[in-house]
Amino acid sequence: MSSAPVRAPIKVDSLFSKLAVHDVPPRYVLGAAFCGYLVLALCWLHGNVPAYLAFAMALAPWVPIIFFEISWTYKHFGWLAAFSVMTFVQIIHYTEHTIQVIQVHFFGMAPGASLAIFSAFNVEWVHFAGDATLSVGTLVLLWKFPRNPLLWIALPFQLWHVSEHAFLFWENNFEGVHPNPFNSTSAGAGLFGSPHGLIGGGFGLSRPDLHFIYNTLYTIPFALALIRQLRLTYDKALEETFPLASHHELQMASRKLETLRYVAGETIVAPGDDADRMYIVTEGIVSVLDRDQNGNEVEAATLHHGQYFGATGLLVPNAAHQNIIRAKSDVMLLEMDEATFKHLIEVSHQAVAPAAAAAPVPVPAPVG
Amino acid sequence: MSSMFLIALDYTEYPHPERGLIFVGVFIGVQLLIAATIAWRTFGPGHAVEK
Repeated sequence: MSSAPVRAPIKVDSLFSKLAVHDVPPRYVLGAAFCGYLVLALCWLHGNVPAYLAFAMALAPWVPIIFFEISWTYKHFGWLAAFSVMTFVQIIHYTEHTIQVIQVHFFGMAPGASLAIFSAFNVEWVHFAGDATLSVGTLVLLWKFPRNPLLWIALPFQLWHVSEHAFLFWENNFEGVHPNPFNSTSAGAGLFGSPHGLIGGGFGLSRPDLHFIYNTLYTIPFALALIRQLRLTYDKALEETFPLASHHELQMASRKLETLRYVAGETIVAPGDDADRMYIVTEGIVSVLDRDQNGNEVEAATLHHGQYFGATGLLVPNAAHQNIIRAKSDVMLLEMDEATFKHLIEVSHQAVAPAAAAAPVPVPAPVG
Repeated sequence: MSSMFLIALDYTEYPHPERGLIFVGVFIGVQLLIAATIAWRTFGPGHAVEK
């Protein structure tokens, strides 16, 4: 007795796929990387370009890429985009502090002369602006994700760090402690840095070491908070497809989905294909095609963000697709298996059971 | 109490640390106030259950 071939299981998206580059084509990313390295090489050959200026120019091509990617992330995953912005700022900030520590301990430079890349531009302005951005950003994240406990753990360390920089910023700019910070080879110890920290002479750690510890104590819970939020975030299109399912059910379902990409003109399913998966459109336009009496393809419908096809087949045993489904533009889909679909339908019904007679039941429209 | 605290300050490195500390107090105080408001709205009476 022969049995029907078993279709390969869904390759579930990884947790970090939400942070991947989605919107900008890879050639632009490669181009930005090439331009960045080219700028650094030319500045190195020139010999007289300050490091902060060289790196600022090298980072410039990434700005539009980051802008488009954050816009895309906001469209699909909402305020997870703020986490992306914060991650970018914190990577630069932590890199700056790490370089300072390396300058002190591996190159034997004096703590006051260890100014990394961007700190050399204006040590107090750079760190105060960076830390203030991180403090405000952490509060914004807490406002949107107040039940993420790891953000609450990260906040005090960030406030402690920024209090140091707020003090140093004030003293530097308004009290004339270091009246010429531009190209300065010295920097204040701050509240708890040594020697001469304001409070009790400091903790015994130089400013670069102390601030590296502050930053590490913030970065660890922040990174864990990001991972936690990635697990809890799902594409808005999933919620639009199953508006009556709870957030918890949608979170669980999102961990069983695979993202598929098709270029314009590519056929997604053809008549006779097994109808054992449901597809949610998250990006682009999909054509549902039929054939007229002469055998010519006729567009019966178009599907956009948040619409879906293939669901009807999941409700009928051994069903096959009847239509041609083709990408009208570059398309991104979420693929869902039968078990996940039936579970979501079931829990959605349970959620609306008391008012079932009046409420719309979220059974997908019979397309495909 | 406040004068005892000020005695502990290092005036050799920072000639006028009081004004810097006031700036820090206001800057951090506003952020702590915002954090406290978020905590109250999330975990305070009547808000303890996740919606």
